[in-house]
Amino acid sequence: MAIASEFGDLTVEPEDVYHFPEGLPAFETEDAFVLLEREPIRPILCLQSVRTRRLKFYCVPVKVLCPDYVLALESSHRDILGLAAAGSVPDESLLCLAILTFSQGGATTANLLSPVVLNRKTKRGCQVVQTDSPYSCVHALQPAGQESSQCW
Amino acid sequence: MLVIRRRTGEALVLGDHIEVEVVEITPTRVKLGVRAPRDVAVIRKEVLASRRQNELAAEPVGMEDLILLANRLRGG
Repeated sequence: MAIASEFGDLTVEPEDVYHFPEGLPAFETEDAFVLLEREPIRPILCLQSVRTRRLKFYCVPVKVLCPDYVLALESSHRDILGLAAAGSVPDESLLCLAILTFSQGGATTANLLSPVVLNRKTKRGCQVVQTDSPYSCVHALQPAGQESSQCW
Repeated sequence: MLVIRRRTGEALVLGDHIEVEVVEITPTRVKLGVRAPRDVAVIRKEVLASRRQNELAAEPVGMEDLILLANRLRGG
């Protein structure tokens, strides 16, 4: 299928589309996204809406910002993502992404509190709003070379 | 802040149309049931923060800013 994106018109295979049954908070009707990788902005990824050209979220894998990041998944998240029973270690098919916010003239922040989690096997995705979490939804990105291992 | 002690099965009422009942208490969590009119949004506070953050994050971003940040993240 053809979709319009920031990077021009793209042909996307149906199997590349991630389905978000609940959408994202504030974008509940947006239930289909593709993850675009472009060399000039690596390791930043673009989560592009299939339905809405102008809607996209720039993300970065949480491990890039915080190598020791721990994701707390509740059973409702596991159901959406099509994961096996609770308690099993989140397997390597999961991709955990922090959404970036570029504020005008201000610091860029990453949402480590509520990462977007994609299951590459089942092609399901959801935004996991964690509770009792040490992480911030406005984690400030430090200047080059000063990325802190402390993520909160 | 108004603080009210409640046991399991007890409730409190907000205004004329909203009722909050304590359904279950565990050592770490309280399960609450909310009865409210359809037009009253009931949302966990942290979801509200995510809504606001998502709205900000969906604003257009210049390619220059992206490349600048990408270089920083790559340690360049």
